[in-house]
Amino acid sequence: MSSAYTCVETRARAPEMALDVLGGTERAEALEHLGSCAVCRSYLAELTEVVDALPVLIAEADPPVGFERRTLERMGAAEPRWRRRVGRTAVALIAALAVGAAASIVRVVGVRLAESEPPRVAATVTEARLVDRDGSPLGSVVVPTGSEHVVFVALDGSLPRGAYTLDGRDDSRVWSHVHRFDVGRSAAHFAAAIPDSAWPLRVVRVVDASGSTVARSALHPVGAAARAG
Amino acid sequence: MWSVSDDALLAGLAAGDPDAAAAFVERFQRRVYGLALAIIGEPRAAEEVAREAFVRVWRHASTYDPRRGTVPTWVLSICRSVAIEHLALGPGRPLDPAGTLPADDTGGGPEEAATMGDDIVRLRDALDHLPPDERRALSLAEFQGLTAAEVGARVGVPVFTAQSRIRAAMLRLHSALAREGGRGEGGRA
Ligand SMILES: [Zn+2]
Repeated sequence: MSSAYTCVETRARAPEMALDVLGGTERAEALEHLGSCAVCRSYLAELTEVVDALPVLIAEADPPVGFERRTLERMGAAEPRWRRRVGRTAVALIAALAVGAAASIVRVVGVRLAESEPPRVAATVTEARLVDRDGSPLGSVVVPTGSEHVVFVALDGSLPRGAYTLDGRDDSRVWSHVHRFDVGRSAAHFAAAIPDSAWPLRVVRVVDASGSTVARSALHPVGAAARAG
Repeated sequence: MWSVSDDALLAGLAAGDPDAAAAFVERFQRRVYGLALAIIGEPRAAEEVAREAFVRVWRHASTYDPRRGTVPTWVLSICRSVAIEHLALGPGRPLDPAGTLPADDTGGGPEEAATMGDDIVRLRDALDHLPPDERRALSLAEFQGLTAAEVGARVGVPVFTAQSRIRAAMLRLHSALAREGGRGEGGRA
C-alpha cells in the first residue's frame, strides 16, 4: 500500500498503461495510485483516447471475396432463436428509437420500406411512451403491425439496475410474458417476439424482480402522424 | 443507400437484427480488414482476425458507450486487441511490422480526410512530424503490443531508451489532440 506511486511516477508510466504494455509491479503500483487520484485517471483517459484514435489512421483494404458472408454466418451461428424472428423493419425502428422521436420513427421506417416493401406497414406503426406510476417517461415502445409480431423497447436508463420482465396483453385481461431483460448502467434497447396469446398487443407493463409493476404503456396508433413526419 | 447513423446501426446489431448486422459489416469491413492486415501482414490470418473482431463487436454491441468515443474508434480498438492477441499466441511476430503507422500518403484518401474530425487531422499531422525512432517505438507498442523491453530488444537499444521514445511519442500526440481545446465533436465527455 505505502509503496504506491506518486502522481509524477504514475504519469510517467501512463503512456505505457494506455498502450496496455506495462506489466507486473509497475502496473500494479500505478493502478493503486489511479484508484485514489482522479487527476491521474483523467490524464490516463486522455492518453487512451490517443491510443484508440491511432488505428483510425490505418489505410482501408478490400477484404477477400466472400468475407461479408462468412462473417455474417459466424455471427449468425450464435444468434438466439428469437432474434431471427425480428423482421425487416427492425433496423429502422431501432434506429428511430435510438433517436427517440416518433416523427423520425415514421420517417425512417418510410425510407427503409421504400427500398424493399410496400409502404402500408409504415401507416400502421404503433408507438407509445412507457411511463412509471407517477406518469414520468421511462422510454418508448414501438410495435409494427406487419406479419411479424415484434415489440421494440427503448429505455432511457432511469430504471434502477436489475432484472425485469416485459409482459403484454391483448384486449383480454390476461397478461403474457414477452421478454426478460436486465437494466445495466447504460440505456437499453431490445426487440422481442410477441406471443400469440398477447396479439394484437394493447398494453405492456414492466415488472421488477419483486413482482411490482414499475412501468406500463397503452399502445395507440400514430399512423396518421406519419405523413406529417 | 444506407443513411442510418453508426450509432443506430450498432443499436440494431445489439438487438440482433440481421439487416443491421449485414449493413454494419458492409460499412466497416474495409476499415477492420485494413487494420487487421496492417498488423498481421498476412491475408488469411488477417481475415480470421477481422472476422473475430466483428463477432466480438456483435457480442458486446450493447455495452458500447458513446461518451467514450465514436463507433468506428470503438470497433477498430476491438480489432486492434484481437490482432495483438493473435500475434501473442502465434508462432512469431512479423519481423518488419506491417503495422507501422501510416505515412502521409496512406489512409482514407482526400475525400475521406474531408469528413474526418479535426482531432484526427491534427493527430495525423503530429504523427507525420514524429522523429522516426519515436514513431517506430510507438508503432511497435501500439500495433504489436510490445513492452518497452521488447521494443528495446527489437530495435537494439536499452530498455530505458525504448521507454523514453514511447513516452515522448505519446506526449507529442497527446498535446496535438489537446491543442485548440477540443476533445473533438463526437460528444465525448
Ligand atoms: Zn495522481
